[in-house]
Amino acid sequence: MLDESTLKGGGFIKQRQPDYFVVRVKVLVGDASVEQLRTIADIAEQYGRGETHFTVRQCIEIPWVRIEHFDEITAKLAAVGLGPGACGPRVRVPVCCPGAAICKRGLNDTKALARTLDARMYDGSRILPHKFKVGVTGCGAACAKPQENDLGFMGAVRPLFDERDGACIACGVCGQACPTGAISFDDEGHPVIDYERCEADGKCVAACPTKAIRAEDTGWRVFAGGKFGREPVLGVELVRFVSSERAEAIADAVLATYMANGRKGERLRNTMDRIGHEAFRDQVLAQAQAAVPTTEGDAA
Amino acid sequence: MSDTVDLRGVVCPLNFVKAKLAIEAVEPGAELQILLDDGEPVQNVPRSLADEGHAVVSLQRREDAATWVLQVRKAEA
Repeated sequence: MLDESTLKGGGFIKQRQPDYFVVRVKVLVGDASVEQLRTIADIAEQYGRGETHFTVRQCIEIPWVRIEHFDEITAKLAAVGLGPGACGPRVRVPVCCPGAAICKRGLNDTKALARTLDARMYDGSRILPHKFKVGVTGCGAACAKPQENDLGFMGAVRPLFDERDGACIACGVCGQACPTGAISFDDEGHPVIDYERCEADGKCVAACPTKAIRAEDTGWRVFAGGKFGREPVLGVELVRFVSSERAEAIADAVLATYMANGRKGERLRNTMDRIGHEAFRDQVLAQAQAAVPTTEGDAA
Repeated sequence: MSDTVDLRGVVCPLNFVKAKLAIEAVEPGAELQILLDDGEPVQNVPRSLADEGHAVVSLQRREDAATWVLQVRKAEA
């Protein structure tokens, strides 16, 4: 006899109607090929009632499925590279925007990071204190809402103004574009960037009409402790700018710190509130530092 | 003296499309003056034209602060 909690871990969710289940299909980074969509459609037609449902976290569910068909459905999904989505107290399928691969605003490759994080962090057999959600977004517009997730990543650039190339026409548009007022101007009308105030959102780089301000480096801004539910709260900034490699190490460290400190039923934010945000941050950064030592250009 | 295209009151991305059409009509190496609104238009149109290979010669805010004057030189063929 199949255990229902095991089924849930495998992406089979009991419906309110007796004997019926929803199959949650993992659609990583929200991308599904036409072949995969056809297979999902075929399964819905053959084993369900010809209906599918798009979840709020970019996966596709097939309702009205019966338990005796689980093995056949799993095999058909696997044949086109699909599998069941995560449920319960586990690392969930990450949500991500199109990022730099498609979007004009995207500052970094969201899909690549989300795929890597999924591969590193998801383990259906690993039970966490509570669910754990990850969001990856390409820029400050935050379409994938990284601050609403337990762990969130936002594409970031470190801007550089190099006076020597003489490209600046002193128009001042960079200062207008900067949402944090991090840019002031010298006597010649050239920008001076205050890196303490800079949130690395790349607006100045995108707006500069002569490319006098350019992206010196591309990375991620990281947030932790966001959640929705009964008491919604936004994630707090963990680091302002890190490389992809370090972002991955931070993800591992956040999850390990949560598992080491979290009590059953506690979302990451509740754990952070209980042990203190600073203590949490210290533990995470120490672990990440041990895994991937800080290099020049990484600022925690 | 170059031609002037008034794109005040034209929203993104239509202002860029119109700017692109206007610059197509001038000779390579010739200049065009474009009037743009403050805010999004001035943060987008000049850079987008530069990305198309044209040279932004100057970009200045008028006294009224609501209008920007863009001087752009069309890319050589």
